[in-house]
This record gives sequence, structure tokens and C-alpha cells, in this order.
Amino acid sequence: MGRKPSRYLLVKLLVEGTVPDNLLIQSVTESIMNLFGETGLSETAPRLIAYNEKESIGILRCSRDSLEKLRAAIAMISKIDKKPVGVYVKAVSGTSKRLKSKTLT
Amino acid sequence: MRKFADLHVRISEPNDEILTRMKQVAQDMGIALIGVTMPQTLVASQISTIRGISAKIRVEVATRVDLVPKDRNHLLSDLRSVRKRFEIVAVTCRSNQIATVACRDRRVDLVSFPVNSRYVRFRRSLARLCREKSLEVDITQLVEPKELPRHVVFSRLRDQVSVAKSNHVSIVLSSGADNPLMLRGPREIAAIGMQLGLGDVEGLESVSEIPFEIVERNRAKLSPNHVTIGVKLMKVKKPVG
Repeated sequence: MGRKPSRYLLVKLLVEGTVPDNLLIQSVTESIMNLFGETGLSETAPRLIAYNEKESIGILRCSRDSLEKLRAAIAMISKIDKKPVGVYVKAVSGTSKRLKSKTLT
Repeated sequence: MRKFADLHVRISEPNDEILTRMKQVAQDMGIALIGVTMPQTLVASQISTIRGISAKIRVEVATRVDLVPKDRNHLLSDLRSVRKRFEIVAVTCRSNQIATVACRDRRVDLVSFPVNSRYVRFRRSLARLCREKSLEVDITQLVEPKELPRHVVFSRLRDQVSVAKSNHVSIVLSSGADNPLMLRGPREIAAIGMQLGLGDVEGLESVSEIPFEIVERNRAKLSPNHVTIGVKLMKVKKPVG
């Protein structure tokens, strides 16, 4: 069985202060659960690959076929840990290499 | 390359600081045009001042007015006063009477139907009246639902989208943001549109081609060279001598 193709999303948070990585992935997961349920969550399989807390920018991975689902779920996030936030996708790539250089610099 | 627009950005008091921040965030998200809601009472000189705020940021500002009329006469008088000053005229239909006039009147660009209204729904009969206008869907009501649970809002918006699609009414998706944190990326808004029943191309068109078409059409109509639809003044001959 071959490897499942993935997509890597460079996500940026608009927030006053910082948001820790565990809360970010938790809110993404909750948002997917609310919108698409457990089946949707298992199909999307989101994972936080890299995160720069200071810059509030990170890389999320999901399955290629669920890219639009993850985008919709990300758009639904308006609060993390009771803090108002805005989350948006800056770039999407098939590999994480290029996105990593943008995040970690 | 596709250019994106967000036609509904609500700013309570259009001032330098808020508008600059909105434009910066919009530029970061890849939005090329924002429609900024302005008070109905603004005069032409104030509107041009607002349009000139932070002109260095390459995000165009289209002036927009949101009408929430009490009845049909109120709507007609509002349309008379605002149509020649604003690039986008949007009407929130709170009754069937208003909805019928708004859907039929060519001066209206966008119609929206509140999801919590008991009295009015976007029906086939209204959709068939819509010519050269679009149904607007704000995603704020989904992101932060106020009165109804999110699944009910989803269901009602899906109904509106389905009626619009089956009657060939174009759909405009916008953020309805009242602060920079509520702005959303255009592809994210399109992704929500897909969950509401739009196809992937339709979703992207509703945040790119369709809003640009509306603004360009109205800018042409508001230009001094416009005579009527399809007729414009190309050149004025100078008098001899």
C-alpha cells in the first residue's frame, strides 16, 4: 500500500499575545469535529508539523483530499482559550520543506 | 492569477487606524478589494477622503451602504438618495414586501436574508425576480452565531444557496467582519461556501469574479462618461476657434 498524499498549510494566527502549540492543534481538531464529526476528523488527520509561537505561525498537515475541509474548519475558529483570534492560511504546499523555511526564520 | 474581494467589511466609524489595520490584514490574506460599509449620511467629499486612507497599501476600497428599511417606501427613498454616492448597495430583507422590491429594483446590488427571520425566506418566487443582483452570504453568522445554533444557521444558509443556484442567481460570499480578527482568507471563505452547497469553482467565483464584476459595473455607471447601459461618452469635441 502506497503512502497517502498530504498537503501542508502555512497558517498564521492573528492574536494579541501568544498561543501555545497544544491549544492551536486542539482548537483545529475541535473545529473539525464540530463541522464534520469523527469521520471527517479521521479523514482529515490534521497534525501540527512546526510552530513558531513568537510569530504565531505554523505548519499543519492534512490529507490531500481533505484540504477544503481543513480550510473551512480553520475559518470557523474565532477563539482559542477564550482569546479572540483570527486564523488564515498563507500558503499551501505538497511538501513541507519550503514552508518550513518561511516558518522557522 | 485570480484576484479576490471581500465585499462586506463593517467599520462603525471609518477612521485612519481601523481602516489601515483592516487593509493590512486583507493584503496579507491576498485580498485585492474590500467593500467598506459606510454610514448613509456621508457626503461625496468624505467618501473620497476615506478612499484615500493609506493608499500605499495595495488594497482597493469600494464604498458600500447597507440598507435595512422599515418598509417598501423607506427602501425606495433610501435608494434614491444613496445610489449615486456608493459603489455597492446592499439590502437586508426583513419582510416579504421589502424583499420583493429589493429583488426587482435594478439599483440594488446585493440582497441578504437574515437567518433568524420568521417572516421572510429566500424563495423561488423572489429568486426569479433577481436580475443583475446577487445573494450575499456573510460567514460571520456561521463563525459566531448569535441567536440560533450553528447547525440551524447552516441549514438555512444551505437552503438560500440551493434556491439561488437552481434559479441562476449569483452568490457573493463575504466575511462580514467588524474587526481585523474576523476577516477570513478568500479561499477559506470559498471552502465554507463549498460546505453550503457550492461547487469548488462556484465557491472561488463568489469571492473573486462576481464581486469584481459588481464593483466594475457600478464604477462604470457612476463615472461621468456613463450615459446609459452600453452607451458612454468617449470623446468631447472641442469647439473650433
